[in-house]
Amino acid sequence: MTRRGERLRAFAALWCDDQSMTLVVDPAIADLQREPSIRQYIAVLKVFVWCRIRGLTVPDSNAATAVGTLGRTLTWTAGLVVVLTALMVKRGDRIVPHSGFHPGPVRYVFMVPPALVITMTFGLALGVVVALGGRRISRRVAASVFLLSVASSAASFLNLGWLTPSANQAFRALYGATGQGGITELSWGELTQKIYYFSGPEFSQFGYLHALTFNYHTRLAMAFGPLVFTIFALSIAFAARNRWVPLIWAIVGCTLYWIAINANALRPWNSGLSSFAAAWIANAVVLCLSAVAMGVSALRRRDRRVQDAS
Amino acid sequence: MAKRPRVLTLSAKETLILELLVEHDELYGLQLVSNSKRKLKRGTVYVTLGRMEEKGYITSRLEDAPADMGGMPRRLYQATPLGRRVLAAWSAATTHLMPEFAR
Repeated sequence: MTRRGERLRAFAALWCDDQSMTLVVDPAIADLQREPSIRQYIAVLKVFVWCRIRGLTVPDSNAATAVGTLGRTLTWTAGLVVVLTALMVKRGDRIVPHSGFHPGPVRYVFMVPPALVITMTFGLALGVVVALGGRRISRRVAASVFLLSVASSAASFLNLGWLTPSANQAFRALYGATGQGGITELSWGELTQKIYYFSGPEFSQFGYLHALTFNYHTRLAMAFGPLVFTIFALSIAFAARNRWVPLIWAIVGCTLYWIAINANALRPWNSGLSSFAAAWIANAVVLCLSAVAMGVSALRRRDRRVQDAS
Repeated sequence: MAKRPRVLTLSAKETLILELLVEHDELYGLQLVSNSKRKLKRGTVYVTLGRMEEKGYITSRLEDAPADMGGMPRRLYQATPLGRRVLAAWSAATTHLMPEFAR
């Protein structure tokens, strides 16, 4: 019969180095065995996550190096965001009909916020793998990149909730369209109000509620995009030995995400999935790929430790 | 030009842990959490203790648990002479520089 915490310890030993096991994990598990509680289980899991992150990164030996690495990451990210946004705006401009309309170059200004929703996600992921792929990443850099992704997600949330709806409205007005706008022109507050309104039993036979809730969950899921893709980018950067493999994986991940968010087959009215599931499935796929990459790096580290020990 | 020695610092959690260990001589992780009146959290105390042991502020030993108790032996922590000196110096510096906030 296994004692409380033994399986947890065996799992942690696959992922954490010996020093972390002795100094941090074992004391937590010993306390769990003597004073078991849900809080102590959670504490052990937190300890395990900390050790895992510590194992993936290296100490900051040189602050100047960390600043330089972070600067390179930011430069690549900013450059890629600008390039991708320009490409998205150009693509969008080709799709919109022009005959009879003379909207002028100001239309590009209104096309930037919707484009930024996806380009910030992809730009951050690609910037991280180009700048950090195949290198030993310090804790300071990993923490800074993670904070950058949190800030980008917050900016994306604001963009999706207010800036993009206003830009869409202004874009439509530029083409002389009047009257009620579509779902994409609703702010967070307006969207929530409409969902509440159309949730009444008198509207149950209409599919409009589906479209509203799907849009709501999609916006939330895309707001988390920078965070999800940064976790993905860091996990493949840790796992790879050179720069090109994580870059290829990042491009594959971005392509799959693009296909998933545009796939009509995944819409809730086509797939039978709930609005929440249909909206978050793309993020879930990317997080699964991150877990696979982390598993690969953990196995590599374990093999290296076994090799060094023998 | 010779490198300047690194100034030893104490975070708020490290200060609290050292104060508790100086007061009680030897404690294990959960005892530190309960004696800290919720200032120390279960999830982070072990990480902080591990870091302090690496810095040399504390030392630890495995308890002499009876054989029939089973499970892993708990780790008991004690402040080292270096830890005690750093705590004394840090407290004196805090009192001197910010008397309004000194405990």
